[in-house]
Amino acid sequence: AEKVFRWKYQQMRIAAEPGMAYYKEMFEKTLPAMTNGRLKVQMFWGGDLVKSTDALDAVQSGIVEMIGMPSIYFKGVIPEASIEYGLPFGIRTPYEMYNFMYGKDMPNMFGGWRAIDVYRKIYAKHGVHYLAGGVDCWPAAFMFRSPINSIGDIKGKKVRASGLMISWIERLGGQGVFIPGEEAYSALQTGAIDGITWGGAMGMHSMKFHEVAKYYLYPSLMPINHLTVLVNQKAWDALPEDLQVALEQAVVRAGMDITAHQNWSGEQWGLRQMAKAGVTINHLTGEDLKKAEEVAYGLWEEEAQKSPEAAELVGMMKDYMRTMGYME
Amino acid sequence: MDISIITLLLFLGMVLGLLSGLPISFVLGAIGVVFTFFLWGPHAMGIIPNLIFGKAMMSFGLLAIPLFILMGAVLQHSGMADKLFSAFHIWGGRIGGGLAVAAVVVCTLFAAMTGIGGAGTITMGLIALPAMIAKGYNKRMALGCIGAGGALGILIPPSIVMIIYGMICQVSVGRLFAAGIGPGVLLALLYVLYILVLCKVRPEYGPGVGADDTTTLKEKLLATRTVIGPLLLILMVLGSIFSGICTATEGSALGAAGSLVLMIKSRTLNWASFKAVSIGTLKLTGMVMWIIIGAYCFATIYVALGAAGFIRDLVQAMPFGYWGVFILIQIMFFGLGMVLDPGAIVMITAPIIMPVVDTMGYDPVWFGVIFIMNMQAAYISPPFGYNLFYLKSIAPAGIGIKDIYLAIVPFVLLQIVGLILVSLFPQIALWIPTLIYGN
Amino acid sequence: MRMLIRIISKISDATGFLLMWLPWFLMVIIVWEVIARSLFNHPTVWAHELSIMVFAALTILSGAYTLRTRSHVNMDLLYMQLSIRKRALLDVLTFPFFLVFCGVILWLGWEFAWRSVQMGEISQSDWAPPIWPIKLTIPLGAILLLLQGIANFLADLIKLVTGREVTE
Ligand code: NA
Ligand code: NA
Repeated sequence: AEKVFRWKYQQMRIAAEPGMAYYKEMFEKTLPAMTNGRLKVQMFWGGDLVKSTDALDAVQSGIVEMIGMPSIYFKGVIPEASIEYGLPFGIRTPYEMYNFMYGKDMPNMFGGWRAIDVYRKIYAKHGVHYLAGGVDCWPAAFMFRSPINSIGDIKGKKVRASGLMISWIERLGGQGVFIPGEEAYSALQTGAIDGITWGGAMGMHSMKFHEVAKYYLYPSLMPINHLTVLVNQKAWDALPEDLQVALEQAVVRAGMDITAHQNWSGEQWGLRQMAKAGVTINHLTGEDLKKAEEVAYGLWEEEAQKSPEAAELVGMMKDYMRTMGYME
Repeated sequence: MDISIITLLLFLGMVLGLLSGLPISFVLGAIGVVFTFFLWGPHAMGIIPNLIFGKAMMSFGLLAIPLFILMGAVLQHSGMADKLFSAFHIWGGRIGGGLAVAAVVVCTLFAAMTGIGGAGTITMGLIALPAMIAKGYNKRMALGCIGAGGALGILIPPSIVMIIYGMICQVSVGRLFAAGIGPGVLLALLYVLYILVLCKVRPEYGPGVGADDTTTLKEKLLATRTVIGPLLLILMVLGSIFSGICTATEGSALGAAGSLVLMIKSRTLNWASFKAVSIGTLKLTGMVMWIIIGAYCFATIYVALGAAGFIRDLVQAMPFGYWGVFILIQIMFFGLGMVLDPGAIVMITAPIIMPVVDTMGYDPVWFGVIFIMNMQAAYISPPFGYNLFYLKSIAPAGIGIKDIYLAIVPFVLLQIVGLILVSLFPQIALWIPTLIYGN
Repeated sequence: MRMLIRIISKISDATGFLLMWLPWFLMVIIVWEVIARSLFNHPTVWAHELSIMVFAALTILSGAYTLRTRSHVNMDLLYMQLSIRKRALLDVLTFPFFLVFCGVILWLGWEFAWRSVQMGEISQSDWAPPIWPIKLTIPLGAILLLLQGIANFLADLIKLVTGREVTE
């Protein structure tokens, strides 16, 4: 009989999130069907086996064969992870993210960036195989307790943020704090924080943030975030090539499906729901927008100093943004 | 191996291990290690240090534990506990069970200051238990009211278990918090009522104080003055948390600092008392945290071996009907609660139960509060209940775990009564959140 | 053998004396943070994380002293009914389970911490302190716990033979 591979996949999300039943089915039903039962990947939700902060070690050392996390959790070990998690004012839609990561075959139209190759190079140095990224994408945004009509309104605000958005907030005179998601609602309610960055309108809606914060800052201040799927190197090498291809296809397919249904259509739905609940959408425009962008681009340059690969990534990103007309 | 057989083996191993007298933390940890090795594989053994680090050590929520232990220990060694309880004594008058009622009241206040189920029990166990035993209370009455009173900590907001539940089940944490107040007060009242009635019928359970016939109002007021400090302390901790100045964990640090100030003021601070407080805090922290370490090792391997699917199948095999499914789910929760820690139960069951809640049309906030009430019973239901172990660790010599198991039974029954009341009259829970947030 | 028991007990007592300051240290850090934030409107970047790291060390290192003082709670339903000698026998028989648990924390905890040391792992926060020293407390805590466990095991062996409690 052929060897059967039984893997464990530690996800960052939780089962109750919309679309997760499908995601799980992809690995626990479709993939075995695709591979004649030779590859079975059992899904575990956020914190089931290991905490997200310790997931990288778990996949490096082979406790689990696969993890799916936003790369910000790898920042303490992999310096380029902050760039991967998102440069402020970086990529703005999930489809552009996909394009940036995989856009190989249309060099004349879309530059031929293939960020995934750079990421594979970076992560290989840390002993893990970078299976996929840039498919399970979600837009992120800000919500505030008071209106933000100009860049000056951010000054003095205490904002729950993550990654480079903390630095961005601080350069604008605000104060970036990291508090766990489960404390965010009551922190907003009591005014312990004035604003929050979170995964898009649908996510904000499901966390009920619109009950306690009535101003949505939109669009495009935050980069598109995405899930990074890593595989233990030994487990990957032991997998026959046809199963490697099937697994990568399954991850890409499941991730794009989540993006389409939850993270993009859901964004539009969430915005409508919150508008009905009395949430106002604020826009930054003109000089304010320009100032905000300048501050962000300053951060890009600082990140580029971290390693040759970081410089390569930031260079690619700038090139991409210029081609798309987002950057001068 | 089939998960139902694994489940049987896991729990058989746990029962045998516990009976052997090996400390609970090591029993749970060793089972986790052995099952990981044989059923998951040697390559996965690294999960043990990984989860100890991530889940037990690096947790800001659990950080409140040593600080509330410290606060209780300082209050105990400051002599404040005795003064507090003599004050309650004097005002309690001839009412039998007055001290037990006071303990429940203080536990209820503690519940409003802490997010965990153990803090009230630990602190009152250090303060009220010796006082009650010194006054000739029946030890089971004394142990029971403190164990059950402390468990209110996860029902009355703030509550860490509620936050986890809200996150996993996508229920507004604000609404859940508000919904916990009514049932929490209801249970506290049930405990008080039970104590008063029992002590009326059987005065030897909680002898009233005879001396107050001769105490004048002036003497009563003078005695009450000593209560001001601790009450201010409680108000400070409560107030700073509810006004949003600080988190529950930060409130626990303020509480410890405030209690240290009281200790200095009462001139009871010296090297001997400082060392006793510090060493006592260290021992209790070690005991509590190592149980949590063991419980995480145990629960995580159970999840890794497929607990979620197993429980889903159990639920699907249940007979249909609104109340039929409801009752069976509650019995399952209660059964798990007898042997597992509430965090682990939320982790294992909530994602599977929530689709059932949707299909059956249960109000998710109401169902959440019922779940928390059930988990509250888990804190005190034998054989595995944190509060029982906390009680055991602070009880005077001569009190065995058997005494504690027997002591807690009437209070578990009262909790079930409370749970039934809130099941039948959801408004007990839903009244306050509706008041605050509307429908 | 009694000598060894005494030496190990002294080591555990010494850790107890050092660790007893940590809850106070925790209190000071967090109270400082609350004051800095609410009175001076200037929260620190380090208090939250430093307090968690102190707590982490306290948690894992406290095991040995707690064992030394026999404060790890057990279910004594049947256990307490037994004679000293039978209890000692049970303790000797359950020792392998303790050993397995402790040994895994020590061995794999060391590998876990050493990976972190080699990577020079820092925290994911903005303050970004090194994280590997805290991970090193895992094997350290396990060594201390294991030592005290061995001392207790030796004492149990003596009890099993003599039928009397071991006095120091
Ligand atoms: Na509480
Ligand atoms: Na229980």
